[in-house]
Amino acid sequence: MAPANRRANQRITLIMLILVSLTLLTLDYHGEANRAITHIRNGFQSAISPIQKGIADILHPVGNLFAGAFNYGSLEQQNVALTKELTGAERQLYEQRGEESQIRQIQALDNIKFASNLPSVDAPVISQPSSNFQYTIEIGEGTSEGIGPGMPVVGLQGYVGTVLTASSSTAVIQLEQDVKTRVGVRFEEKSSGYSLGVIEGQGAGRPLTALVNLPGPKKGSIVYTSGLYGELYPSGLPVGVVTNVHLAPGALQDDVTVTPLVNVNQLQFVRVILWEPPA
Amino acid sequence: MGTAGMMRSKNYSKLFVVILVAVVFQQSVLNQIVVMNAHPDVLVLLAVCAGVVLGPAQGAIVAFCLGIGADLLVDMPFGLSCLAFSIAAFTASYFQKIPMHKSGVGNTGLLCVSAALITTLLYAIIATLVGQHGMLTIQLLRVLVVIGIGGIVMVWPSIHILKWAIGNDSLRHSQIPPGGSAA
Repeated sequence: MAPANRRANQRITLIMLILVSLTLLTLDYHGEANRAITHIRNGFQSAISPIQKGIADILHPVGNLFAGAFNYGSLEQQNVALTKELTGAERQLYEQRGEESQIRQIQALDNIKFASNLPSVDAPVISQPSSNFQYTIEIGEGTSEGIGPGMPVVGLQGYVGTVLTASSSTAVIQLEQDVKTRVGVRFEEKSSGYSLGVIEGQGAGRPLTALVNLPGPKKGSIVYTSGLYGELYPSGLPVGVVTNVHLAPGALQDDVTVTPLVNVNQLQFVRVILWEPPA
Repeated sequence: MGTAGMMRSKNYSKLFVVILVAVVFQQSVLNQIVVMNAHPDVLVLLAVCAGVVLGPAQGAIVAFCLGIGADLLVDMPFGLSCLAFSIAAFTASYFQKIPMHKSGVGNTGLLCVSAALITTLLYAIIATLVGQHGMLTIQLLRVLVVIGIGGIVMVWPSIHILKWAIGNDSLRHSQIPPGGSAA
């Protein structure tokens, strides 16, 4: 094929791929197609979740699998046997400690005081964020346990995030620090009642922010979900602590900085509250 | 006959397996390695390596398929990765033809890592254009650093896996140098 024709064909291929990509992008913004794409995504994630869990299981126990495999001589064999025995005992100890830690976390979830009258499901955190541009985690329970999009997720200290999507065995949680997060909250103060506002995520590792009508909250105020009619979350889930209040000259609202109560990097188990906002 | 002409159905099967394994590897292993709230990305790296190893047309198609895999893993607009990866693979293949990059595999690796970083930037820009918020923030710099470091580690395995997938017959006709070290 002549180089000019080949170049033309290559460009046509690229143009076709760009057109298909743009078509997919456009379809994703339409209701029906978006639902179909979500189904495909959930199906795909369900399909690979056993592999994902299997690989995690394989990678987790780091043992001396090949140690002594090519060693000869009674002394070396004895040494290998003793090392294996010791490694096995150590591994058992670590596994036991790991299990104890997990059991402690699950038991701790039972001590949660907020939203205790609502049905809930406890789930293990199985994956860190899938995208570098979204602040999400994946949990090991899904629609088979009644979990669905929009449900609030809490940890021991308080609000963690919201279920974004759910397949039969897994669910993706949008964490409270994600830039898309908006939560209606009330700022509780011991002396002067409370004030209302909406906090917004500012991205990974950054505190939450809110604009609150004057007189705004004071530093140290605890922030809870407001639970007002039409809100996405039930009332009284602890969200964070006010760490800074700034009033710009001439402004009518306080610029409030809120530090989340939950450290998501240490989460092993979360509780999904099976609660849907009133229609 | 070019690389495309030499591709056989067996090679396509291998490429499919490579794409599938890469997607599972990304989700199961690399997503767990979180540094500065970012993780390495083998899919974007494989996409640009596909452009370099397979040529503009074949590379863009493989990059498109990798993009579909990437889009299935995240809750971002579907087709975003396909678009960014296809353009990146096509462009990277043309940069591969510049004499400077023919001189050694070290330059090819550098080209692939640089292209992966530019693709990530392109992804963030397109995402912003289609209405995604918070893409062009300080977090993007952290993401680029982590993807860059991860890319340096993974670029040689990525190139060699793609070379294996397209087979030796195809490789004889491709532009890429036959192997070596970045050092």
